[in-house]
Amino acid sequence: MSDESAILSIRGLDTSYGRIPMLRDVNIEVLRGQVCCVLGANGAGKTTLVKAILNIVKADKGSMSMSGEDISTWPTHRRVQAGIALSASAAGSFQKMSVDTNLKMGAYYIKDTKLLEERLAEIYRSFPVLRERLQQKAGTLSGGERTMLAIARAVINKPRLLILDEPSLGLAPIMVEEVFNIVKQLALQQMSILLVEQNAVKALSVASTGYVIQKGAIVFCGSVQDLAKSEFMDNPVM
Amino acid sequence: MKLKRTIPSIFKLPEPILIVLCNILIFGLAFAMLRLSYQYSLACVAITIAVLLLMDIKGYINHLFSLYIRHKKIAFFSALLCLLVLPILLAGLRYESHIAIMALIYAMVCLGLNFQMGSTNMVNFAPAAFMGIGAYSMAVVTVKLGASAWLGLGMALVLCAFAGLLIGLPTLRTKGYYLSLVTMALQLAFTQMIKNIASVGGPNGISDIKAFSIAGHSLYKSYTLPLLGKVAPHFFYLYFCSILLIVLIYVALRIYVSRYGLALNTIAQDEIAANCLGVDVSRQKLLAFVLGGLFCGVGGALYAGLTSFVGPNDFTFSRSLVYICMVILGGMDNPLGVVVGAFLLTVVMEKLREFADYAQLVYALLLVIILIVRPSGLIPKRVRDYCALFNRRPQQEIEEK
Repeated sequence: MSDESAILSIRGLDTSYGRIPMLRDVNIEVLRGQVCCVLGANGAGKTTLVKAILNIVKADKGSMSMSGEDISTWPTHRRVQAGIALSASAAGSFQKMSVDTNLKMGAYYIKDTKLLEERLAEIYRSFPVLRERLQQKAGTLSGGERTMLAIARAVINKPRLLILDEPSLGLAPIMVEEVFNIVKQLALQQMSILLVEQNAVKALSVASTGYVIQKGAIVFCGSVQDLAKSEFMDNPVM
Repeated sequence: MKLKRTIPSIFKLPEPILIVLCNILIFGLAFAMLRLSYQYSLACVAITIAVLLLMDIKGYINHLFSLYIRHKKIAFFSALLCLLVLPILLAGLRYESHIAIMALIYAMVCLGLNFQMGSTNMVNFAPAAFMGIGAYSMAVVTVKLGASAWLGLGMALVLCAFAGLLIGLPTLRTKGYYLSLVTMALQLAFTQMIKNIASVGGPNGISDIKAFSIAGHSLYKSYTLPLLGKVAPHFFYLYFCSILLIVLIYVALRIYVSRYGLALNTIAQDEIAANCLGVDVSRQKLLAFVLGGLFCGVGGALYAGLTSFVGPNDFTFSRSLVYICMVILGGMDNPLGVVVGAFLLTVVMEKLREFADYAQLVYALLLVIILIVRPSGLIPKRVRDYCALFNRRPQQEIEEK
């Protein structure tokens, strides 16, 4: 795989919490315009990986590059401005602010009002649920609506790479269905997505390449067809 | 919309007239509080607080706010007119003018403190130290160096911004209680330092600070005016402070509705989330400290110009607590609420002088009662409406399409 086709490539990433090592020698490539999923059980290091990509958790070792450009030393906000967007429970919505403000906060560094209006209009079209709740405080939304808001807030920037950290977490089956419909739509629009999930069946239905992470190390890497046939899918915890 | 509250029938006046009446009422109340003897003045304060609380429960304050935003030109100019009339009413009254100026200066300091405390949720226990830096730079420039007061104000701004940066840097590494402790230590260190530096007067302070003057006319001097006769020396100084406060309120509101204000609010709510949306958290926090420092610096310089004396006792830890109380009472993260809080507490503090030794006790009791009844302040912050005050609202246009 060459660096040019990869929107994000991580090589030899190590992280630790204090003295306890978390990720060991993680290599991941997210190809342009594709959905890449990372599967793993609780405590496998999925969220740590996401945090390391955004430099919320500092990497001990390893390098990271975006479209061939080395971003290892960049602070979080610079990575975000370069086009990585995160939708995760770790970075929740601003509960005391209105949905409208939350969305506009997603477009924080779009300074052009006209562009902002266009983007907002697009978001209202693809997320009709949010449109009805614009003036409501984000804290009063239901779990599903909150996940929608988190995704909407992340895609309003048209990011080069969208990271979805467990979008199905704590949702009713019908809402999970709806969330993954949105992910499918985004995939159809050729958005590069890194989907980090526990719900393997759902994740495999939208992704094209897959990784499996166990105890902080990548144990499988390949296409979803191979992953679906592999022994990891028999594991009930996933 | 079903959420919209019904307005009582007395408010069915045309909106512009209602705004003008409101402004007259607000400034009339302010004048009454300043002018009346302590029993009536304190009664006025109590009634005002009660009415504000009642209005907020009924939702009228939000209604009033949106009314003011809709007719901001009328609201602004009628308020300006009232503010210009106020010094004329106070023309011959030295003591009352003095309280009014103090209230304006405190309001500036509180506006500065609000950037850190209200918007970003970093409780800064050192506003008095910032104010002290402003006042002392004014004193040193005018007395020791013999330069003009304007240069002193400029110096105060530069030094306070620098001090904000200096205090801001260590606080980037701390959060919550620890941050407050750091600022507390800085406040205590400042007072001790000033007491021990002989060249700034030590415990005796610096006296004979020059007042501001425009084209050779001092702003703090008793003039004889055509219609008003001999006015108190505070007359022009009150105008000067009012104009500066208007400018500062404008700046504060402008920042509040801007992306910077929004970024500060998001940092207060969830730092990681703010960072993940592209906010440079360190820079924004430093900005809050520098801005706060600037506002406090203006306040300090004006304070030095008013009293013509600065000493370490004017900028102690207990003063910092008073400013914090003003911000909490007025309503955190609401620039207008903060100004109201500063005014009310200044009046209460001054009028309580009648109680002599018991003043502090009564003051503390009042605060405790208010904090129990109303922890979020008299005019609490509203759910923010990005772009509402100064920009046009993009959302309405989209709905039209």
